[in-house]
Amino acid sequence: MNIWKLVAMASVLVLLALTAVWIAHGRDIYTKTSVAVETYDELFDETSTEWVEQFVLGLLPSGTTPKEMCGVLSLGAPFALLLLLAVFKLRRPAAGQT
Amino acid sequence: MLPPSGGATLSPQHKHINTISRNDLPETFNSKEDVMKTILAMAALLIVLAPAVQAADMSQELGLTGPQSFGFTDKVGKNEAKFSSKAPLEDIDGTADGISGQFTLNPANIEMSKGQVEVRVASMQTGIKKRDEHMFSSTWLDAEAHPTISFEIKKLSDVKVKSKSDAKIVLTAKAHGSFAMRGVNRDMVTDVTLTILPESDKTRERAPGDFLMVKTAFAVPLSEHKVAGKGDIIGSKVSEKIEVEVNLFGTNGMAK
Repeated sequence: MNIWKLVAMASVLVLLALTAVWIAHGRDIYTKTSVAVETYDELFDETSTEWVEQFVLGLLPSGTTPKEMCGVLSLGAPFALLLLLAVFKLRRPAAGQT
Repeated sequence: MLPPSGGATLSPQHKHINTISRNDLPETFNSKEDVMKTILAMAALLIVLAPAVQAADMSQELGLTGPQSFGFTDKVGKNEAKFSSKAPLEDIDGTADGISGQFTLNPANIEMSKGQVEVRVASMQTGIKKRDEHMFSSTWLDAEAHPTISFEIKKLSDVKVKSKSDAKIVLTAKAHGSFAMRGVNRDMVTDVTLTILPESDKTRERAPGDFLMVKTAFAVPLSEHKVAGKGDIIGSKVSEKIEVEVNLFGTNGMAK
């Protein structure tokens, strides 16, 4: 199989996987490293919030640490470029071919 | 008919008022006008004293005597302010838990209850550290120059008993006070719910004394507190009005 076909297919799969994870994580714009969890107080019949460490993939990176740098666009950009390159190569026959 | 005796002298036209004993009338009642004036004066006095009588009833209703000072502490429940911004490009939900303060409930004159709450700006978080840093910066809340946000409750009005049982008394009221953020004080009236839990075996598991929960919700217009933000972020990524919900938990038994 043509190597560029493989590259194109792999890139599409990675981009689809990233999008699926982003949707599953709640479609946040920014990546989060902690989330609010509600806890119930029976005595007062009220809820309170606790922040727990949890990675939530967002569309854009939110900070400078490796985790915060993750985002669908930052992680997906190299694969999107590879996909474009593969499409370009596949549409343009190699030199010498007729 | 009035028995003839010394003392009060009534004119003949008053003799038909046979329901009033002559001995009941002071000497100063010389005419029907005097009697009417006294009745009116007593009615006016009742009207003036009515709120005080009502306040005394509230004192009985709450089962508390004398002003009760409730200090807010996380031993009773999680003191927390939740804030929320819904803007076209982004929704932000956060909390602040660096809360201190006290509330003095005055059962004999419930409307004169007072309190103060302070929230540390640095305790606010939204789940994104970088965004929190921006929030504390001088462009936004300026935590360095104004480290706290406060609300001083000066009085209550429209106090009503919403529900009452042995374990819980719930009051609703309007709290009148002053809200201070970023160095700007603003008069504010907000609906509050006061839940009183008389001391019991269940409450003693957490802390001594009767418990008080104060719950309120209000909106904070950023422009009125000189929060300009960066560029045109307010309106697109941050809403002009921040919705705030506050749950405060205190006890009057910490000094015991």
